[in-house]
Amino acid sequence: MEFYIALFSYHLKLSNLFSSATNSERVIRRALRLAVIALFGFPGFSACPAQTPDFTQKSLEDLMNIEVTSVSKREQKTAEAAAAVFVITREDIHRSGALNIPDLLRMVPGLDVAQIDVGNWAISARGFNGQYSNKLLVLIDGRTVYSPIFAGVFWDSQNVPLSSIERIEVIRGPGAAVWGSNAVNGVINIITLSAKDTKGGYIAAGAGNSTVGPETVSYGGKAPKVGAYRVTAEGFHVSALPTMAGLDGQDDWRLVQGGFRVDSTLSARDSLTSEGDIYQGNAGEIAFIPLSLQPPENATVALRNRYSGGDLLMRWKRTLSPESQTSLQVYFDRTTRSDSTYNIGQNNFDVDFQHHILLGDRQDIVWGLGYRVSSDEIDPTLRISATPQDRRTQLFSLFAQDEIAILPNRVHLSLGARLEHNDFTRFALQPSGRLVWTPDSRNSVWGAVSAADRIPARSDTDFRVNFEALPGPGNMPILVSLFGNPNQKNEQVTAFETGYRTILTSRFSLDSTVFYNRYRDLVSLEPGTISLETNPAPVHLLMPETFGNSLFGETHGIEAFANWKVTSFWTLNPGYTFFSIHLHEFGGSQDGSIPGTQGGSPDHQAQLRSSVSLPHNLQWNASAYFVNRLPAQSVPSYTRFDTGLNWAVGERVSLSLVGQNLLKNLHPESSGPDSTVQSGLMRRTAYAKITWSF
Amino acid sequence: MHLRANNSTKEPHLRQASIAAWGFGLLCTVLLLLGVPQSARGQSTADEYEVKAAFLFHFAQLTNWPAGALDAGGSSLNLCIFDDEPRRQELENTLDGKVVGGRVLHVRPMRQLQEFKNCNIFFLSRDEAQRQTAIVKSLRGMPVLTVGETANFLSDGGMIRFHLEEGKVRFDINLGAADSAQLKISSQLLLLATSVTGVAKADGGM
Repeated sequence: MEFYIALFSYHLKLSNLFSSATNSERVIRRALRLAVIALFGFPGFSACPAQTPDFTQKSLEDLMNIEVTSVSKREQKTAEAAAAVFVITREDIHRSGALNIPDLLRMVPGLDVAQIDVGNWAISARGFNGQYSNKLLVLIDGRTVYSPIFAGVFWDSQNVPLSSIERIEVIRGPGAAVWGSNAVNGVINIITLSAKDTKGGYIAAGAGNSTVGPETVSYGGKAPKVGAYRVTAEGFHVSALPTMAGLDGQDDWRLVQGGFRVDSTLSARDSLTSEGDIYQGNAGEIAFIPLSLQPPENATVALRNRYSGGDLLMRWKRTLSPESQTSLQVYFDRTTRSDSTYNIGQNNFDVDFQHHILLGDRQDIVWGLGYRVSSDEIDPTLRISATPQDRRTQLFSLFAQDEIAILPNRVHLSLGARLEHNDFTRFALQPSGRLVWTPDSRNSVWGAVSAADRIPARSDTDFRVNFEALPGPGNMPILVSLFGNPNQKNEQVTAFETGYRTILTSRFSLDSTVFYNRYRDLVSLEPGTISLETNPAPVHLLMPETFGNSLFGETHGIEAFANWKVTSFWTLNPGYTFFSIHLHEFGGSQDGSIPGTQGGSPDHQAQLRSSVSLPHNLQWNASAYFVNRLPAQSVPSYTRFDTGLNWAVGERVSLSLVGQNLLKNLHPESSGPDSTVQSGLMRRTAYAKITWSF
Repeated sequence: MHLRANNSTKEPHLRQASIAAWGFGLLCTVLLLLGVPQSARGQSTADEYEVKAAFLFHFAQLTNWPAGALDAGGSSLNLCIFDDEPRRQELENTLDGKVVGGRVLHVRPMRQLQEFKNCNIFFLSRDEAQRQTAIVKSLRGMPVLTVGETANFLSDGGMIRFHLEEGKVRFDINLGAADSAQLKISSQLLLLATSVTGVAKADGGM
């Protein structure tokens, strides 16, 4: 009976969800309804016993041989965190059938993931999405992969073999007090498995109608005096997509990567993690670029982005006492990127110290110091140049956070702030206050007020991008150029968030967040005065546009998702996101970018993921993602449907079959105005994968 | 190329979606025909706290309480946890209603220390470390089998402590604490323990 009530309320929820449904949305609703009816319409089905494996039937000796998945305290605490947190677990990764991190991130409610072409994605939370989404901070094992040149993440070169990932924590909303600047609208933390958890060999091979790979080889073991180690190599090739104009996008993408991780126990109190990567890859794109000031001035050409890099990280953790731990992390990261129109190199060196201390029963304090030095070389080309050509910048930071148990296990207040000094805009203070109230084990309510800054990148302050040349009056060419502004200020947000989590029954839990953000000093594009320019020759008219900080605005939204264990073998995860944005100009700004930003993030997103465990070690997963249209980009609304079947053939071998984008072949997900590439049309794909552990 | 593109794509979109809908339904039917999967868990690893709950079941079976100690609970054997114990769900799912020595095992969430008088077993997961010392102290000498997880659980006066070794559950026993509470822990359990401390004459040994 309870089931039918749950089913009914589920129907209601779906109807509300799609109440402003267009035709295609209605079809999705029908699809979901049909699926639910198909499952429940059969007599006796709902009567099937809810059964989890009964371990009490096993002997102690057998129990001692079962390997358990251990959930760390930090992860467990997400249920009571005073922030909008979503964790992608290993199990989620296994079930998703995703081939890369961006596809995996689609399951995170509140994230907007739109693929631009084969290797480029626009990924953001709470608006401002684009190829260079500059308000989302991404870290891999504590190493930032947010580019201080372009202010954004190059998803095509940030590869982590999915089999090495322990979990991905996604925090929506500002995280700057703890994670640092640029965590304005969210933080993505990709955390890899300890080498202690990956003993033995692992081989994965796969292929499909548009991909070869990723082929992965990994081997882990234990070396005397060193500790647990793992070496991994991965490579793949993804074939090109057609462009919106129906032409070959020539954007095929290939990457090879090798990496290692060593986890050593130095003493009872000290542990050391060392890890590193090297990678090399290339991806094509079609771009409109200026060639010269003489006709033909511009051309749409196929370019090939070539990138390579490497990084090395060490983290030393020391337990001073059960109440006090320190961690010291050092890393170096080098990356280069080029095509025929630009050539850049970037080095990051970062030192980070943290001290975690429990003061009495009530206070849980984390404080830390950080230093980062970034240096780059930007070779000038007709398209992109920088002044100065090479630059070294430093970032100093100091942060502290105190979580105070006002009423232990009932009311916790967390106060934190980060003070940073950077070479572009000097000091920035980013505070946050969070309160969580847990009246009982099934409910928790939280609220937060926090501030975060997006500090300027080289592209904001030092770049000159020549967009196009035009034939002008009297045979004098016109060059349209975008200039960085050395006086760019930080983009700032003050965010107000509140959330509610509830475990309604042992089978149904709900997590919802409402936010209201106020932004100021957002980047604007201001047209400058036309002037004569002699370099590059010949003499031409320069039509400049310069960055400013003349926009402000508000966003608000709702993010909700649920976990419904329909039966012991079937789990459903519905999710819904509403988003609204209003930007304004001030100070006589002549900016024209507002419609593009406002219409570049969907107002409605909904998802439904289903996972079914079948007999014979089979597992069937399906997910549908609805994304409403992007008016500024003429991208119509779409529903993406992915499904996969996993079969654990034995202890060591598993097979999977995955279909992606099954509903509609060749549709766009993004064609951002800030994107430098021609967007591709997403293709219906299928692939098969085999993995072997030994 | 702008909004018109939206309209022109609507019809095939519709058709494909309804095909998918029927496909979805069909798959569900196939699922049903395959039978109701009872043991359909292809996982080689298990949830840590479901396994630990099974250990607790065995601990209950292999412990002898002093005469009269179990009377307070009537015909039930009470395993107590804090009402906001984060592992409550796993413990309840695995243990509630199981029969141990003719008594029905009940997982009892408690709010305050005073309520712990009716407990026969008390479990404190590692996330409850902050309250550990006070609890273990107040239960000292009482016939309550205390099971915990943190490094200093036994030195605080707890009886059995879980730890993980290469992802597998292991446990240590503080026999001295059990003895002073007049609890008799079966030798079968002592043999399987990684270490046994508080043994008379070999205090702190192993």
